[in-house]
Amino acid sequence: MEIFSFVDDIKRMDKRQAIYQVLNFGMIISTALMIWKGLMVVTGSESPIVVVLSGSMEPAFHRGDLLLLTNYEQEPIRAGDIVVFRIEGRDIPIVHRVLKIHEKDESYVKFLTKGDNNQVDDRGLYSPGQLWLEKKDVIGRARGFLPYIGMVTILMNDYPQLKYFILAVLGFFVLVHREN
Amino acid sequence: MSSSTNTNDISSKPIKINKWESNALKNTLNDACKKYFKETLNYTEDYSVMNRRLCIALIACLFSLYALVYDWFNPFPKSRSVLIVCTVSYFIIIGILTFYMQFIESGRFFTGKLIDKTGIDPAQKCKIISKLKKYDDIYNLTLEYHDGKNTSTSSVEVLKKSVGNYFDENGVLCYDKYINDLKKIYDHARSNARKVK
Repeated sequence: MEIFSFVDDIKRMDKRQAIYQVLNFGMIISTALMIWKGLMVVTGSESPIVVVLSGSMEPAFHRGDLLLLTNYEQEPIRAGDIVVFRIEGRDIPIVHRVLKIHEKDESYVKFLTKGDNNQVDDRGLYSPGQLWLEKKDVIGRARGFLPYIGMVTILMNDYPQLKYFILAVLGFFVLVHREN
Repeated sequence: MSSSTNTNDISSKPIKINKWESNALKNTLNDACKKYFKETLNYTEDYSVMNRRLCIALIACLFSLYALVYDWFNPFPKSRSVLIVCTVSYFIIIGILTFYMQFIESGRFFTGKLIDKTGIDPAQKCKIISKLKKYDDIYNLTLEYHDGKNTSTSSVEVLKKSVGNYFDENGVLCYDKYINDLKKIYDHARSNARKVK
């Protein structure tokens, strides 16, 4: 039973070695987490990387594309920008283009959006009674994109057992593999 | 050819590993060496090097945990400054850890003290470093022996042999063969340290 040789490996690890394995696992997760938080700070957006979930922006973006967002205060939103926003009360972010804006002074902006591939503007999607979006609804503006990569996220969200299974297997290998 | 075993515990079963995996080879030889020094020669292991490594890793993980928790309770724009501090410190600490493991620890896997039972002589110390390069089969073991009585005398002995000498066809460790070689260099180091007075 060659595959179970790792069981002997675990038994042979002394206490400090085992603690180091756990910390090593923690450090791998922490590195990923810190990179994500770092990106959040650098781009100014609460979710700097999003996956396009629908085909409403074809032919520019397709379902499964990855978008990099920035949300700098100094750059005003203009008609034609592609923004990612969240409607109050719903968690799923939407990626559409800005159609019209109304701006008062420098501080107050309200705007209307529409998906390139949709027939009508987004007023049907907004909360009942809401006719315009404001700066606070915006997560960021699309600045870069990577095609197809987001399909992995979509798959893992549609089949959550797959996600837990992969994470469990990866975590297990990190904890058991000993490398001084 | 399998090693002879003492009867009692699980650690004395003949150790079998994947002979092509160089990390497993190095770890097995290191563990066997530690076992010899602790059980046969009665050295007590000094855990300070390992403890320092564990502390640095723990501090890094704590920073990242704090950032996670703070951001959970104070969503993004409010937590910006805390996140910046935590992220930067985290990466600095990881840098320190890498530096520590690469240069200060550098392959040292055993630091031990042999305390004289009669209490008259101060303790003798041993530092053992091992290196096994990635696709190489030569195992380098460096033993640094400090005689307690005269702290300026220390002798260094090196064991450089192919791992093929210590593992058989199936990847089983030939404990006795390895221990014989270890014993030779240890005795050599002790007698050298005594000579240089």
